[in-house]
Formats: sequence, structure tokens, C-alpha cells
Amino acid sequence: MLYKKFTKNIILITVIPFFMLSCSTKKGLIHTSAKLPSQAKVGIVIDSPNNLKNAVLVTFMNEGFRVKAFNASDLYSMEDIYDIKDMKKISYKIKDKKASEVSAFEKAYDNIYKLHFYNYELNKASTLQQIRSNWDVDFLIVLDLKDWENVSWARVINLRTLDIEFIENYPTKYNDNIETIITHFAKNIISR
Amino acid sequence: MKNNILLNLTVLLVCTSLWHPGLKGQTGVSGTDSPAALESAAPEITALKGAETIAVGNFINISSKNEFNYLESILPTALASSLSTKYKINIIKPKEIEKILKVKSLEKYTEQDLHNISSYIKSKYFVYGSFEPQKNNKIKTVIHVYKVSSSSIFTFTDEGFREVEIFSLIDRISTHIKNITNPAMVYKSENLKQNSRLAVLTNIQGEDLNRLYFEIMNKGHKLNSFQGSSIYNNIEKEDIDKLHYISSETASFRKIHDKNTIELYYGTWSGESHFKDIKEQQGIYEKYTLNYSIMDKKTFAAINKAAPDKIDYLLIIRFNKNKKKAWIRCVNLNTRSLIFSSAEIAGKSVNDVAQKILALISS
Repeated sequence: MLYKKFTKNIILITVIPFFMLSCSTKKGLIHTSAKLPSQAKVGIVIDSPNNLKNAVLVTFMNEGFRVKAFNASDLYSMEDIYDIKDMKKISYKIKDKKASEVSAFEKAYDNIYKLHFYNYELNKASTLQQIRSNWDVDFLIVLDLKDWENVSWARVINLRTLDIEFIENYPTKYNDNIETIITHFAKNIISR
Repeated sequence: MKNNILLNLTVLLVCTSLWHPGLKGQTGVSGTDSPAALESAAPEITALKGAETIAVGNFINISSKNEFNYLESILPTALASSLSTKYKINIIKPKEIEKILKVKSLEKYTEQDLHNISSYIKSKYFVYGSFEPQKNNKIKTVIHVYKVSSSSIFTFTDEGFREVEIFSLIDRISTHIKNITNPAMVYKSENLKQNSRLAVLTNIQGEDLNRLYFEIMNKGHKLNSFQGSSIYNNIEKEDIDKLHYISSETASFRKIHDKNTIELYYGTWSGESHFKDIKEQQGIYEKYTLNYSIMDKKTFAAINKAAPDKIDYLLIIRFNKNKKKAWIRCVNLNTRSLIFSSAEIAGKSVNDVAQKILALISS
């Protein structure tokens, strides 16, 4: 009797935290900073095959957005990140060093890399401003769609201020598809 | 019946230990995860313990005003006394250090001598510095905190009034030293202003990045798109470690390089193209090793102006693999000053770590 009760309690102690933990990892979140104007001119950034991209764009258009002819998979340019031409000049003459001493070369190498990370983000800021002027886009919507048991997410960037104005994490449900997820995001972005 | 009561008590105790956040093993600045502890996270900075032993070295007058030379003995002695009485840190006094280093012909030392000095100093940290009298009866101090036998050094500046007020300056400096010599290596010079605009550089992406953003935006701050405009984050763990070291107007944490590893030979035997090549290499070392702090400051100024409305702060946050610990640097981009730094802030999740970071910087 005592053993049975003990086992029952132990099971409860073990199962409940795991159940609660598994729920908490799938928690959604949403934050909005400012109202998006109706019929906002938006550009979409999503990494999906073309047929799926079209489905995303059409869903946004159906919700009243003026989707501009800007369609990117991401804002990457490897040249921007790994343009390390300065390194070729100092890639030799490194003496053996003691464990606690840092070579001048190593310091230069790390610092050049560091500058590339900063500069990459600075380049991206100017790219965003170009997107606004060249494509007449006011807001950029960045999306990542995930399958059931994972979290789909969205961000909206105001290209006038370069501020993030909307974020949402949406745990994808069992019966969700691209259309339902995008409609969900679109409604939340619009109904702010 | 007795057994039943005992069993229920045991279960209750096990439950309590499972669910009481304060009993969970945590390291770093945070200590406990309870909401009350989060509220009081900032005062914990002053409650951090410093290193067990600190050696205090020279404080040099770098101005040409010799009438202030008397501070060369007052400043280190007062600092040693403050660290010892206020924070119960064992001190190797400036006179003792001077005696030890004189025997080794190291009375005048620079950053490059620190590794050599390590062999003669039996303490965990070595603190030394310089000062310069300013206008308006003020004094500017530059303090270097070196972890003995390591390859990095933390430097910060502080300014205060001379004469009677000098002891409050000394107390401030000793608090900074105590915090920096804690394993969490905390430095804080000012609070993050409310409703400011932040840019974040981190090694997390997607939904986790949204979690971090959520906590920042929930605190009322504006958030620049910086990494947020990309689906994927190109900065991995190893990459963001390059941002571990930082140089700013008022404080810096940097690697000590070995000058002897720069070998640029030339002579009458070298032709014009070799000389040109050598000059180019020299320029690269000067820019990226010897005078690198200029580059960091220029970059901070550029980030400050990277958006139509200025970005006020840059947060660099490096999460560990399970995203429950992070190191952080925060730069005030308007003044190009490092205002907060910590080697480790622990929490239960990205949201929790972010909340703790914001509580520590803001309050």
C-alpha cells in the first residue's frame, strides 16, 4: 500500500514538471510597438521555394497589404562578411608563443574579424534604406515558417526608422498550413 | 498512519526542492531566480565579492605638473586601504610591490611587462594606474586591473574632485575593482536610460532572438533592426567570441599582445617592393593591433548614426549552448563608453537571462 502510494507520488512528481516544461518550450509571444497603416506597402523576406513564396505573398495581399515586388530569401552577402583582404599581408611570420602571450598577429586577426561583424550590420542598415527608396517599401516583414511542434515567427521592421515594430512567435499547430499561419500573422500585424 | 505522514512530508519536501526556484543551482550574478530576486538584481552588484588577494602597484602622474606628484603615494595607499577595510580583500601593499619589482629591475612597467611581473607577484590580481589633474579642481584616473598570468587586462577611467572629495573617488574606484575581480567580472558605470533605442548583436537567432527582443521591447525600449532583418544569424558562438574584447572612451577589456612577435625586417639588401610590402604590413599592425581602440570608437560612432534617429546603446550578448548563461557588453553609443560588462549572467531561459540583464543594466 505504502509502496503503491510512493510510486504514484513519484510518477506525479516526475511527469508534471516534464509536462509543464514541454508546454513552456512551445510558448508563443507577441509584441507590437506602433500601428501599421492600412494597406501598408510591405516587402517580404522568407526562405522558401518559389511556389510557397507565392502562396505567402497572395495571402498577405488578400489581407489588404500592398505587397511590393521585393522578394528576398535573406539579406546575406558573403562578400560583405568575409572580405578579409587585409589578412593576406600578415599571414606569416608568427613565432611560437607562450600560453599566456597573445601574438600581435592574433590580435590583428581577431580585431579585423570583429570589424567585419560590425560593418556587416552597418551595410545591412544602408541596404534596408535602399530597399525603402528603390522599391518604395515602408515595412519589411521577415518570416520563418515551421512545422507542427516547432515555432513559426515573424518580425516587422519600419524602414523609415529601422526600428522593429512587431514580433511574434507562433507555435505551429497540428492542422496549420502556410495559409493559416500567414493569415494568423497578417491579422495580428494589421489589427494592431 | 505515521508512515503516511512521513511519506507525504517527504513528497512535499521533494516537490518544494523541485519547484522552489531559489534552491536550484545557479551561478553568476543572478544568484536566485525568484521574481523578488530579479527586482533586487542590481544592488547585488555591490554585494559581489572581490578577489581574495590584490596587489596594488604604481599610480603615475602623467601630467607635467610636478606639484601633484604627492598623489603618486597617496592614491595607491588610499586605494589599498579602501579595498582592505571596505571589502576585506587581502592586499599586497604598493611599497612591498615596489620593493619586489626593484630587485628585478622592473620599477617602471608597461602592459607588455605584466606577464613577466606575474612570476614575482603572489596575488590573483594586480592593479596599477595613472592620473592627470584636470581643470575645475578635478583629477582623472586611469586604472588597470590585470588577472595575474592571464593575457587580458581591464582598464577603466574615473574622474573626481581633488582634496577632500578624493576619498569618494577612491571608494568608487575600489568598488569597481572589487566588482571586476569577482568571477562574474562585473563593471558598471551608468544606468541604461529609459525608453532608449538599442541595437543588439548576439549569437542566437529566430524564435530565440524574438524572445530576447520581446523582453527589451517590453521594458519600453525601441529596438533597431540590426540583426533582426535577417532570418538566419551569421554570427556563431566562435565568431561572437571575437567581440569579447572591447575598447571604448572610458573603459576597455583587451588582449595584451606580445610586441616581439612583430618582425618586419628590412635593410639595404631589400628592394623597393619589399620595403613597400613591409610598410603595408606595418600599417596593418598599427591599425588593427597597436592602435585598435581608435577603430572601435569609430565603429561605435558609425553605429550611433546608422539609423535616421540615433541608436543610443549597443548590446553585445553571447549565449552559451543551452542559452541559460550569457556574457554581455553594453556601450553607450552617444558617448562611445562601455557602461556595463559581465562575464556571466545565468537564468532559466533566454527570457530569464534577458530580464536579468535588463534589471542589472537599468537599475
